[in-house]
Amino acid sequence: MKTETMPQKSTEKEVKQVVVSSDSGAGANPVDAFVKSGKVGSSPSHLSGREHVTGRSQFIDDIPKPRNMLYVKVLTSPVAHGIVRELDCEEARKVPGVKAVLTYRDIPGENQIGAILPDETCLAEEHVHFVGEPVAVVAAETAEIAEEAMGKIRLNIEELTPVLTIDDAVAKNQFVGPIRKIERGNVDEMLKNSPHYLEGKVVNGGQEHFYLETQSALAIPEDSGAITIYSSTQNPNEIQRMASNVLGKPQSEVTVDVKRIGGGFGGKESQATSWASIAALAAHHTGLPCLCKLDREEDMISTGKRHVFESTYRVGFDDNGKILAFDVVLCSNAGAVADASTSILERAMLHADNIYNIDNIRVIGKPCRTNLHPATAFRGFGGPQGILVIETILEIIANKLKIDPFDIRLRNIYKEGDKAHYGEPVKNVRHMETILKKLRHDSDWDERKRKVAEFNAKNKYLKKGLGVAPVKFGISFTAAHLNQAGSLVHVYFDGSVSVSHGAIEMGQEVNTKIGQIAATTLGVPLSTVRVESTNTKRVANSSPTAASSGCDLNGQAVENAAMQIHERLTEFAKTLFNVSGVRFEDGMVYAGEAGKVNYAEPLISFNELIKKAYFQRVDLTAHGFYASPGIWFDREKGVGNPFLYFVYGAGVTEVTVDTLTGQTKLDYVRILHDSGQSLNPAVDIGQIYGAYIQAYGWATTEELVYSEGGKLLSNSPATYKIPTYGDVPTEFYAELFSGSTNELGVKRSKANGEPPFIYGESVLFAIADAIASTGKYPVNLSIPATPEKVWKEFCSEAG
Amino acid sequence: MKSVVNFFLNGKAQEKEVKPDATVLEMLRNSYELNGTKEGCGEGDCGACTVVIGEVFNGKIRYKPVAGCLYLAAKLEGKHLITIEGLSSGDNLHPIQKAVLEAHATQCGFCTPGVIMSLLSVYLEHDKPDAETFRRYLEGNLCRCTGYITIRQVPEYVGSLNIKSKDMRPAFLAATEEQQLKLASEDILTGNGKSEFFSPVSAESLRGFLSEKLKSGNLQGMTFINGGSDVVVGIKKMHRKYSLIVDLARIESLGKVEDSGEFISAGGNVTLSDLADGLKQSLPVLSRTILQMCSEQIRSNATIAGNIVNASPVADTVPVLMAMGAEIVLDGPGGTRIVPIREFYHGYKQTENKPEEWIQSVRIPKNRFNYINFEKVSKRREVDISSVNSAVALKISDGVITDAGVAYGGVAPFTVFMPETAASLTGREFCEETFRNAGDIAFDEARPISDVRGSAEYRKGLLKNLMIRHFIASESMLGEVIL
Repeated sequence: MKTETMPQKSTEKEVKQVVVSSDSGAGANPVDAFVKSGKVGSSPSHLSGREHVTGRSQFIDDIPKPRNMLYVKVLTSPVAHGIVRELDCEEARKVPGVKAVLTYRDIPGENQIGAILPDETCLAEEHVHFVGEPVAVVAAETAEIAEEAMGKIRLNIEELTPVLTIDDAVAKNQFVGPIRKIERGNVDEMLKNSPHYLEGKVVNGGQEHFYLETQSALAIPEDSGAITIYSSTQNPNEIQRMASNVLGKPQSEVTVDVKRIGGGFGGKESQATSWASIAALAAHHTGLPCLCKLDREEDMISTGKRHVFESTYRVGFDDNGKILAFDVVLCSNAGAVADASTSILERAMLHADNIYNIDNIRVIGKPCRTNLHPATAFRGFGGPQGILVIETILEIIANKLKIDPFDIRLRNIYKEGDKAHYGEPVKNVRHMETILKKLRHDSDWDERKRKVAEFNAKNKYLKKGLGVAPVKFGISFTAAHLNQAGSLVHVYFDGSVSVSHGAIEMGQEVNTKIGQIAATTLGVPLSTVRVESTNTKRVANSSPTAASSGCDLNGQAVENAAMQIHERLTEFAKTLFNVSGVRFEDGMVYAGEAGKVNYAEPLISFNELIKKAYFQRVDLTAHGFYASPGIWFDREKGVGNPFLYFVYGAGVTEVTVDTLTGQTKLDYVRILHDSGQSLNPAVDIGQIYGAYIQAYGWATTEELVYSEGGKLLSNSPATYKIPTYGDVPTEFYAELFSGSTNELGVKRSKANGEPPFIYGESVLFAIADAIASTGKYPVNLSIPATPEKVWKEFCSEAG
Repeated sequence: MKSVVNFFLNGKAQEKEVKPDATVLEMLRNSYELNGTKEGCGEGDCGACTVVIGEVFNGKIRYKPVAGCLYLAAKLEGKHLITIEGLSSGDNLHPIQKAVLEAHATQCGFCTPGVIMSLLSVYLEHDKPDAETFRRYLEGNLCRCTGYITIRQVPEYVGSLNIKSKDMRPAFLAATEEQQLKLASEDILTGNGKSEFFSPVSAESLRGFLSEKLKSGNLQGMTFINGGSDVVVGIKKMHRKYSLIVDLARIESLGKVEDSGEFISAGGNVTLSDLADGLKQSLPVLSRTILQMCSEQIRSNATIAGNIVNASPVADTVPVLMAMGAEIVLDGPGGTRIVPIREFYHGYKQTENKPEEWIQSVRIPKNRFNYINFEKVSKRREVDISSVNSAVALKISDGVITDAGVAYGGVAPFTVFMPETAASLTGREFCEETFRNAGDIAFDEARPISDVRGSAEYRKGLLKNLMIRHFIASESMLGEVIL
């Protein structure tokens, strides 16, 4: 259903590729007419920017409180595993101001909110499976009363031994889904016959999303049994489905509306469902509006995080560092329920090759069920964990054989025409080699390496290190059915435009980009386009805003709708003015064909044309639809064409490490990233910055520490440390690769949200390089490479 | 004595009765429907609730960023509370707002109002702020979207707008400043018998008030506060209840920093921020320590006295004070007394002061030592609580250490003075070998435990290695100092 793009004036065809250095400021963002134009390829301001900078943007807790609104508090399990022996709410119900105290017995529909696999209750029944699992709900006139009443609920749980680790789950054969395999060539044979052999384990910690707006939902009862839920979610469709399931209502009676969310990063893809369903349940029982907003600690303890992976590998390679055989078992700690764990593991398996052509490869994935909070989607969705293994292996081999990190990667890289281990041709992978070579040059890698060695020779206690991390990231949901999107575009009588689509605005500026697409397609100024909240009544059956695909899918659906209106208006104008062709641009209508447009004299303004079209009964509304073509994947066989296209790029990092304390400091970062023909270069650069620093946090300071009983101890920003302002080096450069285009992406762009996260893995390799400079190659270093872990490497006796 | 609080909110005078434990954040959102100030964590760690407070200081009005979630509304007397809503009207954006928009320094938008208020406090107090100043003011604003890089570019965009520094000031400041300077100080008592907030303007009236309270019963359930950054976290997160909160922040006699030649004396309600600025020349080590320990939103109200009485085993100012042999001057209904800080702690969260005693000042001897250094190790280098911290204070004559004080935090239930380690330094040559040796002694002198901020083994290692860092810090080769 790919629609044709509008022909553009030649000056605008060139998409500006910006190089932005962290300290170059205003000069690097030319504020010229094109940048301000709002057309595709320009960098207009954030569509919600004025609201954000004035504090007027409404998040859930900022919506003016409806009359008689109740505050909802959720009693959660204090233990990781147990049998509920007593749940007595009588005393709590007696507290003045309490309107309802609810347990699973009060659920009118089905007590089930697992969207992919039905294994997740809304409220616990006889068993509790993790610390923070919702057990009972209090709705009261104030948050303080709700809190007080919650303290009066008697909950007695007989504790059972929890399973907390991957090893324990594997030993007990506890998985949330089937064990999967992707295999090509003859791995065992080749492992035996390779000149060199290595085996080992790669481990990464989890990661808390730490979106600034905590999980929140406001449910408002409507007449005729309907209910409207305002939720901070990336996935309104799932909330509509699950809340209606819990309430025992048809989906048509449940509306979900999302204006924007205060950060998501995957943490509100399925993890918002619980709180929205609970708010809806309380509203259903009380007949009053109910707000369920978690405080930071509740959020951190109860909600899902990035998956911990422990992956064991065996690898065979030759003297040049070329990998001949690779055998890996990826084990993820899925927590207590399936959530999206099977899909996340699948993406990890599909990224185990990263950018390398390995003829003999076997990837096995095991999603382990434990008694931790569910693990869930988080930027990269398993990709970072899958890629980490092969990249770590290349680092080890490079160190062993004394090969430069760039050289070893170039020796293993895919060539155009090669197929990935699951059979899909790795299209346009030639760009990857260009990117690596250019980055090596632009980062002064070889000279930098020499200077680092010089520094290390001079300094006794401080050591520097360098790392590089490339990425090939597959774009599309691996669940093929999710690769669809809908839209609804209205042009009103006055010429203003209203755009609805299924994606969620969460800071990635999907609304800005989609506004640009609509404005460019209709030929109107961006200022006349309003991008609406995401609402299940306007766009049904939407996919979550995830997999970096929000703009790809919904942008094409909007382009499709706008194109329909554009075509109707074109026909109407041609007849009206009796011309053979018309062109719409910047709110004016001109006569002529592409290349031969008479810009001197417009035929009519867009707004005037719309009035005329209305009186002639031209339909000024269109529903658009898009489904990615040619996508399939056979899970049983491990083969298919799961991705529409790939995003490429690479990042280089230099760090200084203090050998006495293990503390790390970022010194230099340079990134070269492929956004295709960028829709909005400033937004894409912003995504790269944010993704890298988020990954830097994952790789260094963000440590999830649990008690022996499985309770998260680093459960507040006082103990869980995401990066802050001072962590960012002055020398931070991100550039969009100028040699790429993408016929399959919306307006030739590429998806941008997740792939840059991978560059942060170069921090780990840079730290390892610094440690290796002392002659001790890291033995147990893992993500996060906290000061303590780094310090331990320097203390180790191993060489 | 009055029971209402008079303050300004975005240029308009307010008179309000407030609950003793209500925060500015709660008041703004619940009573004024000013929802631009966000709650991100509710414990002063994220900066989403940053507001700017204008207050009288040395006969002028000065502005500072404050964490709205920890600042009690009852403390607003005489102050000007400025929120994001005060910066612009209609479509007219403040230059900082314009610059944030142009720089693409806002993504999801949730942290943005806080970031802008931090930037505003920079521009209101600094004519030509440098990169270090921006860093100092922005480290307390967590952003999960931008990676801070576009935020760091905002000042350049502000610069490109060619705005005169006086035009950075919201127009209403001229009028409010004039009125603020005229306001008379008066004691405030708000709340009911179950829960009260008392804010005296003099030590005499505080002494009188407490004497009366002591006569009529005990002082159980009473707490002093200054900035409140620990007490309010206790109220909001640990659900602690206080029957009486006594605010020391408005007592003028506690607000002085004095240099007698022999001692530097820091008053009990001098904020950390003022202390960091005030001691830049005379005691740079303490100034640096303070700039490392927390965000400006906290520093702007928290005090060294609070850091001492809170008795955290990883309090950052305490090792410096302990190594240097500082003394604490306590005041109370029973009069004043002086306690060496090395004798102030008796156990985990157990301190020498009686419930009715407050810290009048901290006296730091000036001339006993000529080399003082502080080191801390934390997971995140900026604005993080220490895993282990340490200070040494040495007298070095002709290359020989003749007197030494050594203190460590994070290795015992409270910050500890380490006499054996100190003794091992005394009489020895000032060289790396001496510190290595002292590190070995320190290794044996403390018995740290494991917790969320580090294992016992790591802390043991740091006991040793921080001694080496104390030596390295002395070397001119600054390349060897990571922080």
